Amino acid sequence: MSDRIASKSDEERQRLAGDVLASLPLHIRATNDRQSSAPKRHRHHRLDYSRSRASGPVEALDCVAASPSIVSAISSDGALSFTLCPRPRGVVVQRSELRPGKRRIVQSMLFANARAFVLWCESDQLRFAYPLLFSNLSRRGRDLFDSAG
Amino acid sequence: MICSTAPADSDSLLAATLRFDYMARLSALIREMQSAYEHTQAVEILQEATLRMGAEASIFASFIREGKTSISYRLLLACDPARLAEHERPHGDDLDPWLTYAQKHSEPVRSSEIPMVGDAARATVELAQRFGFRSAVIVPAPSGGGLSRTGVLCLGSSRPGYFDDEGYVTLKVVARGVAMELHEWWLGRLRDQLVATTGITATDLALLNQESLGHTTKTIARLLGLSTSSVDSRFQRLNIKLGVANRKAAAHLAAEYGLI
Repeated sequence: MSDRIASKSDEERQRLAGDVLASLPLHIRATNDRQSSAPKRHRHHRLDYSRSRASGPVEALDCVAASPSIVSAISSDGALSFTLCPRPRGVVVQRSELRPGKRRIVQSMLFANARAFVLWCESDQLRFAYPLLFSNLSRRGRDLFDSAG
Repeated sequence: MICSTAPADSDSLLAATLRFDYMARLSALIREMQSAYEHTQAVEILQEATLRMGAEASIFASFIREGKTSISYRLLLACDPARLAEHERPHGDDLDPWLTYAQKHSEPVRSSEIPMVGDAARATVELAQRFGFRSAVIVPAPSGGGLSRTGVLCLGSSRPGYFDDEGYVTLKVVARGVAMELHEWWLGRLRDQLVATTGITATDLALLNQESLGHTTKTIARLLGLSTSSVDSRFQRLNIKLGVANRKAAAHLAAEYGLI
């Protein structure tokens, strides 16, 4: 038996990358971030969500097309992220939020039309903390619905 | 919106459950769920399953405690997401009486049968009623072995008392199946992602399994044919991979995710 259970191909792992971080346990996500970028002497520092939030949410956006049809958006502090994926019946949206106290809420839902999606964006209370993120999210979402006809 | 405008298949729950193909249509969906991988498919399947069961709206929530302080809630929504945002903000998740019920019970129940303790719990349910869950059935998908992970399927209707007729008996049976399948599906997906991302190995799992049995380093070394120093160093690397402080926490995390 192969010792390495993770037999996913690189392509599969790339495909998963969009929502893997959103789904991983918080401390594992922190570990991976740490291993990739932090100096060794900081290895045992845990991700302190409250500390990262203490400086206030940064209004910035990394809204990229993960594939020609999938849109991902994340706030620069990493506390809020979205993935939009077009499907035959509409667009499936995954919203992941890290809350104080190391609580994470991941919601997946299907929007049948652009109007419902925009209404949902406008009812999100975090839109005031991340106005640019939500502005771009609405626009990209509408584009997805438009391109799907 | 998907759910609040989605009409139930029949005028009453009893009529829906008396359809000649009620069970067959749901069985087909459950089979489809087993082959689903992406969350996009799961959302669509939940939406379809909700209608086929005779409900109008549903939420499947999965709860897992990932450490002493980390908690994750994952929600699949087949209901009005905008109103859910309104629902969840004023009160904490701990105050959701439906989730609380699911964490302590395994029996499906009508929401009207759950005693409301405190104003916050009552307010949460009143809000749920406003967004399409005027009547609801709460279907827990529990895990055994003292694990924290819990799933709960909440089926809703905009009609008061919709789940009170004789169709409820049949609904309970199928809803349990759907809830358990969703819970297993989600756990399997998380497990795959955990394995893929951390690169955890078969030897790691053997070590974690031994740890969960309470074996000492010496015993583990003897059973796995390793030296004691090798066992200790492997656990140290494993703790870093999983981002936990010690081997006990690593074993607990692995158990929560169904790896051991």
